[in-house]
Parts: sequence; structure tokens; C-alpha cells
Amino acid sequence: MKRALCLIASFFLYGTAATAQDSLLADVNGDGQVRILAFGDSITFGVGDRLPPGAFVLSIPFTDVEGGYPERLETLLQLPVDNEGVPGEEVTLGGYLRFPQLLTRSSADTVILLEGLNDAFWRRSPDDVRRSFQRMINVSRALGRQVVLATLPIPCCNRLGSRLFGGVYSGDITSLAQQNGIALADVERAWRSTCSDINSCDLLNLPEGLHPNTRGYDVIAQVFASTLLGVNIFAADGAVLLEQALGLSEGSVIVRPDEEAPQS
Amino acid sequence: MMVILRACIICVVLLASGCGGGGSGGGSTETGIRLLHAAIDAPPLELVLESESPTLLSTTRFLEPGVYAPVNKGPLLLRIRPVLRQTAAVPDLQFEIAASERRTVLIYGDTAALGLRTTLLTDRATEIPSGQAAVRLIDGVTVASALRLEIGSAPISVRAPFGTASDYVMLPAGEVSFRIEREADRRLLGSGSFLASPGQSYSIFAAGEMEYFTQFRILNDS
Repeated sequence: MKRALCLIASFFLYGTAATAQDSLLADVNGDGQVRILAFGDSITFGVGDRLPPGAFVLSIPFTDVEGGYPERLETLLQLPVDNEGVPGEEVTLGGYLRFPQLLTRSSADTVILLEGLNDAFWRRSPDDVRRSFQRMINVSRALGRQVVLATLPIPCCNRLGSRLFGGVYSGDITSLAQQNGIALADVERAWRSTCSDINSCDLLNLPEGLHPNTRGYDVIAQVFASTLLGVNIFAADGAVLLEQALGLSEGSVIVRPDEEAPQS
Repeated sequence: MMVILRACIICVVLLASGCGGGGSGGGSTETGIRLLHAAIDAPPLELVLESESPTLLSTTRFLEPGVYAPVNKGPLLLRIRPVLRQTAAVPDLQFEIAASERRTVLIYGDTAALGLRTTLLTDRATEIPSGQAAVRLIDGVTVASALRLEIGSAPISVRAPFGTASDYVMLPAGEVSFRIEREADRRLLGSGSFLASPGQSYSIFAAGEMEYFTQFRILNDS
């Protein structure tokens, strides 16, 4: 709890973001606890999280799971983060449909939404994806919750076929965040700045090319933490500011600033 | 679903300015217009008064209790557009508004098969008897062709087809308990209660999509 209070205090010190972000770590429902709900698919569930960079991975069973980014975020922020990831789920089918009931039951103050790569695999209509996210945004706000949207990791290698639609969805998700005045965790941007080679990204299990490895999940958690704290992690001093805000040792934050992104 | 229904019991009563005493005509004399957004898959919408120099009157999100924006009496040309977009979401609305009149633009439907639609409502009941208040239902709920509002234990019942408002019903001021059902199968959408002041007009604004997510808000139209 002490660390959580420090975190919130540090947010006000380091926060550069707009008012919309000021309350992302607030006890919105007044139950005495700040709680976060992480909603998504297998990438939220944590599939592939046991595997370090460099391992040869052709496919990953859904049972091969560790805590993924929600568990890391919980550790970083010292706040409860509920993992509501469902492997294989598409936002346009199961995702938006299960959302209202789940959120109504939850005491979360802030909801983070990271979903869409299964829709990209099946090439679902971008309009349907956008509408599904807008529904979830509207439901969240009607229930008085804060929302954070996230762009998608960039697939490669054996899942290269999902890249085009994933990129389109990420563009629409960015646009939705602006239109609705809500915070965006730009995971796609972190992939661009931090992957050593976007066409064979060392943040993913390779050559599987869809699910992050341990390092990839670290990156996603750091992007969410920076968004929730209002730190621009892509600025030249973003990593240092996040480390200070979270009380981490130097070099712990591995997301690179934009200017260090490899040219590819 | 029951949890959602229970959540609907939490009512938000917006007390507008000018809480009048008994008798008819309680409320503001300001001419005004508001936007109510009932389309669950639509982004926030802007209500713009078109003229040589267009004026943004309000920005409204889904289910948000819109506030009245003051306008001058006379002809109005209104455009509704999504935030950060220049193209209109629906055809422009053109009409005349009288002095002290209050109107609501209800936007409902969806951005897919149904499309977004608008209805222009006239707000505030006229001639509210002394000691009474006026209540109506605004229906913006898809997958329900009509809703029914039942008020009190010996229910007064009114219906509102999709995209419209019922007539105002007069009832004694004080605590008003109510339930909202889908007319076709009497499936409960929500229930609650609120305190109605004498001489005031209220709307119970229901929005969303039946079987998915619905809620209501209680609005003071005065």
C-alpha cells in the first residue's frame, strides 16, 4: 500500500499527461482500493510467457501459461490486476459480448483492453472491430470505469499474415482513443522502437511469431505502467522517468525511445 | 443480467437550475436544446449550431445526461457529427424553436444495419397541476420495438416506441418508484425510484441494446 501511494505521488511528479490520465489510478468506485481489470485474449492470458528469447518455438499450447503482463503490472504498480484474458477470443465475437457482464461483476476502477490479433488472423472487418471497441468503451463509461486502449503487438514470421489487419486495427484503436478522449498504451509503437528486427522480433516466440516471450511481456507491462502513470516512455528520458516512478533499478525498463528504433 | 438490472437501480437525478415551487411552468425560462446519445456503438457526438460561423453547443457520450445549451429563439440548423470528424453522423436538423422552449435531439440506432437516427422531442410538460410532477420515458433501446414504463404500486403505465418519448404523465410530487419493461415480453430492463419536485418535468432516458447492455438515467427537463 505504501508503494502504491508513492506511485500515485510520483505520478503527480512525473506525469506529463492530460487530465484524462490523472485518475487512471484512482479509486473511482470508492471501495478503498484501486483495482485494474486486464481484458483480452491469449496475450492477456499469458500464453508463451515461460519461454525466453532465443528459444525455438513453432507453436504454443494454450496451457503453456504464466502470468503475462497483468502479473507483471501488478508487481510494478503494487495494485491488484485481474487477468481476464481468454485465449483464442476475437473481439468481434466473444470479446465484446462477454464484456458487460464481466465488468458489471467486477470492482475494477480501470479497465485495460488489449485484443484484436485473432480478428486479424481471420481478417474480420475493421469496421466491426472498431464498433466492438466502441461498445466496450461506452459500457465502461456508463458503468463509471476508466478505460485504457492498447494497440497491438506486431506479429511476424509464421504469423506474418496477421500483420496487415493488425496494423489497420491499431490505427483505428489509436483513432478511437483520441475520439473518446481516453488513454492509449501504444504497444505497437513499443514493438517498433524495441524489436531488434521487426521482421524477426526478439520480443516474440520465434518462429511462431504471435505470442510474446518473457521479454515481450516485460515490454507490454512497462508500456501499460507508463500509460497509467502518465509517463511518456517513448521520450528520450522515458525509461529513466518510469524507473524513478516505479522505484526500479537503472536499466530495468527495456522499452526503447523512438529515436533509438532500429531502421528497417 | 440480474446484476446489470440491479445496477440500473442506481439512479442519477440531475437537478437542473430553477427548481420551481408548485403550479405549472416551474423551471428555467431559458431557450435550450440538448443531445441525448443512445447508440451503444457510436462515439461521442458533437451538436453544432450551423451558421456562417458554426458554434459547438455540446459534446455528448453514450448515456450521458445531456445538458441544455442555450440558443436564441427562431430557426435553427443543427448538425450532429462524431468528435474529431467533420462529416455529419445524420442528416442535419432544421426547425424553429420558440422562446423559453426546450427541445431534445435523441440519437439512437447503431452505426451498422439500423443506422443512426434522430428524433426531435419537445421537453417540459405544460400545465402541471399544483403539487404534481410530470414524468415520461425516452426509449433509445435497440432490440425492443417498444418499452413500457410503470409508475407506482398501482401502476400508471405508458409506452414509448423505439426512438420516441411517451407523453408526460402527471403524478403527485414526492418519491416516484418505477419499472421499465420491454413491451413485447415484459422483460425487465430496470427499476428504481427518485424524488420528483412539484411543478417539474422529468425524463427517464433508457439506452443501449436489449440482451447486451441497457441502462437508464433520470433527467430533469425543467
